[in-house]
Amino acid sequence: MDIKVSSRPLGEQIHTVAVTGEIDVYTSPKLKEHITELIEKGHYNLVINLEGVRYIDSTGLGVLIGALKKVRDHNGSINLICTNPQIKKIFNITGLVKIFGIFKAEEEAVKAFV
Amino acid sequence: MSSEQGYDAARREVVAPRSGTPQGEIVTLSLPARPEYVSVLRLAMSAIASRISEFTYEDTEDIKLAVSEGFSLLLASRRQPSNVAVECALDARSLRISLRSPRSLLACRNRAPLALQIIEALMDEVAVSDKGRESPQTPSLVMVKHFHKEKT
Repeated sequence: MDIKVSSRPLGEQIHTVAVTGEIDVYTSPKLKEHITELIEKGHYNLVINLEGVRYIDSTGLGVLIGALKKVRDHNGSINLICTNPQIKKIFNITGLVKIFGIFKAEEEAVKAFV
Repeated sequence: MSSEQGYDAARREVVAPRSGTPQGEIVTLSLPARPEYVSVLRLAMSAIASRISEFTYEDTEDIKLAVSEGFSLLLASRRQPSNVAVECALDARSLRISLRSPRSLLACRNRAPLALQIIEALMDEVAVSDKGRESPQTPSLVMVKHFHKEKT
C-alpha cells in the first residue's frame, strides 16, 4: 500500500494538498515530507483533502498535528476535507475535531480561512 | 518491497482448537516488526474479522485500526530486528487479539498515549503488560472485541 500526495495553489494565500491511499506508520513520512516542504516555502494556510484516504492511524494524525503547530507559529491554519465516517470517527475519538476545521467540500474549507 | 514478499514473510498457521473453547479457532501470525508490514497485518485482520458474521463492517474497521496501532507501538529499532507475534483467538462471544514483542511498548512515549487512546476507544477490553527492560516478561498488548448482540 502506498499513498499519493499532490498539492496546488488556490489563489495566493492558500494551498490545497490532496492525499489518496492509507496513511500509516509506513506511509506517513511521505505526507510529512510533502507538507513540511510546503510550510518551509512559506505556505501557511493549507487545505488538506482526505477524501481519497481510506485509513489513517495515530502516526498520520501526528503528522497533521505537527503541521498545524508549525503553521500556527506563522498565524496560519489547516482545514481538512473529510466525509468518510471511519476517518471522521478517529478525529472524534481523539478530540481532534475541536482542533481542526473539518469540512465536506473544498469551497467550504477555503471560505473558512476568510 | 512487493506485496508477495510481504505475504511470504507473514507466517500464518491455524492450530488445533483449544479444548473447552466453544469456537476455539486460533490464528497466529509472526511479522517482522517493521513499518512496511503494518498493511500486511491490516489485510490479515480484515480477512479474519470479516469471516465472523457477528461483526459489522464498522467492527471490522475498528479491529483493523486497533491492531495496526498496537503493531506500530511494537516496531523494532533498525539495530535490533525482531518480530511481533499476533494471536487471534475466537470464542463464543468475542475475538481476542494479543500482540507480543521483545520491544517495550513504552519505547515510543510520544505516540503511545494517542495510540492507546484510539485502541481503548475502539475495542471493548484492552490490557497492557509491560514492566520495562528489567523484566524478563515479554511486553504484550491484549485487546478484545465482543460480538454485537444483534446479528447482521
